[in-house]
Amino acid sequence: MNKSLQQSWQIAKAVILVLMSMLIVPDAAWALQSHGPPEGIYVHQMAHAFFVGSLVFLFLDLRRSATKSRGWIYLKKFCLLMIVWNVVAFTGHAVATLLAPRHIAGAESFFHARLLGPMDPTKLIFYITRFDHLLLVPSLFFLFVGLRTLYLNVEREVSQGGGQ
Amino acid sequence: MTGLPLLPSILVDMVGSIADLVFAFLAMRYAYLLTRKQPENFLWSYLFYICIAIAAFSISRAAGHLLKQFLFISGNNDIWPIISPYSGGFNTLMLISVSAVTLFYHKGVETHRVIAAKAAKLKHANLLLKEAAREMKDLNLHLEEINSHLEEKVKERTAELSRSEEKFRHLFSASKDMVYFCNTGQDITDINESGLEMLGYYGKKRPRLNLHDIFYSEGDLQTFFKSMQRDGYVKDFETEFKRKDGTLINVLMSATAIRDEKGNIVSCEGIAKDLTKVKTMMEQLAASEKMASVGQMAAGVAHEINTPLGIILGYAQLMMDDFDEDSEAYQNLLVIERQTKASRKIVADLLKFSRQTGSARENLNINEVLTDVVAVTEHNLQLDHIQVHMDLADNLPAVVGDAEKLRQVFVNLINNAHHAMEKQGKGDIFITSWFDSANKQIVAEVRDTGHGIPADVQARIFDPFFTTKPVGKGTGLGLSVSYGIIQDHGGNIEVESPVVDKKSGKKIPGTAFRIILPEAKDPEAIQEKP
Repeated sequence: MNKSLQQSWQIAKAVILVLMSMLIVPDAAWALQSHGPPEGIYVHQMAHAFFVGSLVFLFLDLRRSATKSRGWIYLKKFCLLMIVWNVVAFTGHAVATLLAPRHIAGAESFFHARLLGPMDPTKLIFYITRFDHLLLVPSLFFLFVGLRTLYLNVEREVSQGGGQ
Repeated sequence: MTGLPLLPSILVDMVGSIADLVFAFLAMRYAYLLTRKQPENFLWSYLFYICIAIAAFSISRAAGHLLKQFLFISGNNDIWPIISPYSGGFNTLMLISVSAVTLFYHKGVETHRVIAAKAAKLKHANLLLKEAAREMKDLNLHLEEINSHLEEKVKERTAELSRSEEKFRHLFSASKDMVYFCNTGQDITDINESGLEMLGYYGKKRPRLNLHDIFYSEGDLQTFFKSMQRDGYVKDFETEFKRKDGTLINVLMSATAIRDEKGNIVSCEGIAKDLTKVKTMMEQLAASEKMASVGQMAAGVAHEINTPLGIILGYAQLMMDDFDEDSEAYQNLLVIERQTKASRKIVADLLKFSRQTGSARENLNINEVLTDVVAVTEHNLQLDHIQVHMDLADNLPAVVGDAEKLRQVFVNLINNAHHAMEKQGKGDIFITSWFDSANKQIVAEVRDTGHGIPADVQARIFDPFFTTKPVGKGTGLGLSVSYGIIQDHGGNIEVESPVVDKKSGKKIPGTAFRIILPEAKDPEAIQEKP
């Protein structure tokens, strides 16, 4: 071992020692930041926004680079629907935070639960956004159909001897 | 009660969650199949990762929603708040994961595009290489075809060359004339067997010869060189070659100079024909012609002289009757008579030489003629200590001729041999006869061990009146007459001096005369004669 490596190893040992001593002797000054109840929904909403951004990026890239074959068209439709679904979900999550538990009645039976009136735009948006699967399912359907189409095209090309 | 029922949304949520799972997993399956179908395609791998993330997201979402609905349906509402943070957290985590994976699509595609572009370039290069390889293969095939044709052509040409070389080699080696090649230094680089034999070289060891070694005359050699330089060839050039043993041969040579591209002579090739025998024959023919003309002249002279001589002799004898034997006139007439008779004898000899006298022909055994002659002459020979050795062939075929005249020929030859050895006081005469079956000729040889005949004299020995004997000892007509007789018998006389021994090749002092006579066409006739 040469001289410079020995010096590096000495510094590393000192750092490890300090960190270990911190664990043994905790102090308020070293406490981690706490994560209160609203943080979860914020993170989730940011995740939706992030997903939208990613999908927009993917959509633009597919439109720019991908061929006009049917498989890639389905994938673009998947992107668009998924973007819309994210917007809907984001809106739904946001509106949900505005509603209080008293606005929903379901004590007697889960199947008989209702959004109580009087109806206002917040409640209406909340109600509509609860049908988000009507966007998500078609979106995933297009993903499936798109990949299946691409696979069948490739299989046909291979069987015809076209190769890749 | 006012408000909206939540049941539709609950049902949609439950069914939708299940449908989400189904479609997400189906999408993942096809993405997986795509990666299996084209494992090298990065795009399919990337879509497969997105599908995995979406499937995981679907599980997190659908599982949470379904569990919530089931808990609420079953009345266990109090459990959900405990599970909810985990479900929501997991769902958020999956959402972020899907987003992250999706976001990287762009870079992935870009990387894939670069790789694909490079792959395409490589593919194109491979195609070019394949094309080049195919062209090379075609070229190789073409070359192989050409090679194959070339090989066949080479084989064909080689065979032709071989045949040609064999033909010319055979011509070179089988030629009875000398064929030679020489370089600029006049060294003979190659010469055939006939050439070596012509120059007297026998055996397997080939001598190193130069034109200077074989040309007898330096002047002829210079003429040869000048002609080659000037004309590039020499045609029918007569010269003499020197054999290994020093003897000379007459040759007729032709040669051609071989030049390089600059016109310089680099070598020469030529042919030489031995003309010695032809020249000897020509000389003999010339001698024969000369003898024939001399004989005709002698016959004419003899005929003209014979008559006056007869008259002189007649009148001299008549006058002798008129004088007393003791008288001076009678003695003078006696001298006239004697000299006239001597002259008549000479005239008679001349007539014999010119074959003007009659001749009796019969089948003869030459051995008998030789035996008769030896019987007559042996006594005189022994007086001078000359031994006669006879080696006569048995069953010798007959010859047609005049026995008396042939005896005269052999007597002449033996007398000449006697005279040649007279001064030595001793000597040997070898008399041999044999049959030359190839030419159907009978050969009788008389050889002495005397001083021999000088080369410059040999050409003249058959001339009439030519003699080397002292005056009064010979008339110079002996060999001339013998020549005439043998010619009259259709034969020939050969002389060899000095004699070359056939076995050893050495020269023996002395002279050999060979009488060559044709075989009788009717050999039975000889048996009738006792």
